[in-house]
Amino acid sequence: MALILVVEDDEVNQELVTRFLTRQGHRVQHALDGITGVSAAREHVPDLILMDMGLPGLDGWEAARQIRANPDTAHIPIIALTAHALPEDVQKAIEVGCDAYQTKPVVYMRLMKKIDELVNALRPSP
Amino acid sequence: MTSNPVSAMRIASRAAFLFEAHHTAIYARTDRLFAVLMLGQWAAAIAAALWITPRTWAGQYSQVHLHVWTAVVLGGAITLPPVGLALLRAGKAPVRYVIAAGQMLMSGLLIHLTGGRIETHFHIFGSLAILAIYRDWRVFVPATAVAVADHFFRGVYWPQSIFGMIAVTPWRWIEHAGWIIFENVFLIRACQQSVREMKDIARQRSELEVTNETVELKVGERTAALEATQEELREAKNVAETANQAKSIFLATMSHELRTPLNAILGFAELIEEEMKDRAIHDWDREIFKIRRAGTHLLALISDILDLSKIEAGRLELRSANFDISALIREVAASFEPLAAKNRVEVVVVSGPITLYGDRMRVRQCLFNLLGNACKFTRDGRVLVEAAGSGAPGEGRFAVRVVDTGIGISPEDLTKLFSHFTQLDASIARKFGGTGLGLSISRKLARLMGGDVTAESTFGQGSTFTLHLPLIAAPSARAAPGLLETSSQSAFAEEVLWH
Repeated sequence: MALILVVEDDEVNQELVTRFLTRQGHRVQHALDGITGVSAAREHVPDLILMDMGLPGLDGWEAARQIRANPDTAHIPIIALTAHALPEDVQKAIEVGCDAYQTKPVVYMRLMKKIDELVNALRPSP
Repeated sequence: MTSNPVSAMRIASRAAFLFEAHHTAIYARTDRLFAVLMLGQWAAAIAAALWITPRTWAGQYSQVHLHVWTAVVLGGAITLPPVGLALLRAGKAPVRYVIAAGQMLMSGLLIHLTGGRIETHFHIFGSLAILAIYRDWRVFVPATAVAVADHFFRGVYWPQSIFGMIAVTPWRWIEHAGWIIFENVFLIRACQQSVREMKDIARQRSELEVTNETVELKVGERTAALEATQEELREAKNVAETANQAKSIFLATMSHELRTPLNAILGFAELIEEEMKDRAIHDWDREIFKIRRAGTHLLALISDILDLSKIEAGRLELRSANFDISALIREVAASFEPLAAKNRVEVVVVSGPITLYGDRMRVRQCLFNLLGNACKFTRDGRVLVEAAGSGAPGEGRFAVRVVDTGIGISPEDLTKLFSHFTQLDASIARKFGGTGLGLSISRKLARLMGGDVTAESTFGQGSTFTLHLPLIAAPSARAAPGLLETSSQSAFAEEVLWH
């Protein structure tokens, strides 16, 4: 059980990832672009952020950088999702502080495992 | 080239110019020769007069002989005008006619000073021969006129001065004139022949020059044409390169755009599969599997096209590090175990641990293609993977040979094997799967890494594909980033395609 912020502009893909996340029992917050993504992160302080990189306006890399720059949201794990498959895009995602990177198409069950790993790593073990 | 009337005219006029220049140079040179010769003769005339008849005696009384004064004054009068002309106007026609006349007058003077000695008459014949150096027959006209007139007048009125005798037949001058003319005939012929030869030489030089000029002109024209062609080619190449770049960028963008809907298709198929699993419904397992397999195939195509466009646009970056190639071979071979088992193919790997410096992911992609093909196109057989390196790091080579006992490739198909989208026939794609881009990409990747992919085959008996790679010394041990997880098409293909 965790609160996941999904920053994704494509509605179909947003619905898809939401379906998987709720199936796993997570709660989901949505943002459709970079700017609302950054403010939603500040407002809700989710346990993890799934960030599409090719967002309109403020792109995913810049949004991730701003989230990392804010002390309130700096600790939140970010998984970058993108349809860009170029190595320099991966490099850029690491540089702005993303914790993991998934190229679309996403194997969702694998993504869910990764989310659990990152969320559990942050929680103090009982 | 002489067949061209324009160049024939140019050759003729150039030949005339060259001949004129050559002859004028000879005239001027000969004028100067005579200037020196005539001054010498004047001095010789004075010396002869001083030696033969220094003084004249009348009893006790003597004075300088008239001959001495004659030699000085008349000799000077004969010598100085032609010498002056020769020095001031060398090469001009009147100069040599004056010189010819002067030379004959000098002969006459010398004959007189030596008392009309017959031997001194040889000066005339010698002088005529020297005048032939001009190679101008006209000089013999004034020379002969002067000599014959001198012989006539002195022979008739003062024979002692010219023949050394007081009583001489008045016709003796005719005999002398005959000998002079006799010599002249042959000297004139020699001059004419010499002029003809000079004209021939001038014509040959002119032809050579005009030919050279024509050749140079042609070479210039050809060079200019060649440069223009090269410029056109450069422009065409730039246009082609720009178009190719645009195409590659378009493909990269397209493959990116295609991934988004494909993500939805594959994702929802996965979601349905999971939901069905949860509800223990297996009625549509096969259909869902087919959606996922088709989607994965489409993804493989898109990835391959993206790779190809990146390679062709020069945007593919190699990320090199040290890695154990034999471990990689075993890993790739293991991923084809299900397919090999299905086709009843035994996969044998022969390789000791070898550390290679290179882009592990790209080497894996090449091996994945070669091994995948071998397993795909072999039934009830064997696939042997042999890896061996030779030579020192930095100059050595490394080769992975993938030998199969599969269907083989005919020689004509072998030549187009590495072209894009080439499978032996269209039905193969349906029967065996694959994008038709694998070998083309593998070869391009291998070449990008300084190696190559080569193929040999006997139709019906099997094929051998070899991945050649250079053994590069690692600059320093660098670990490949291990943090990232990407759903590469190959990893997914293992998972889904070969169940």
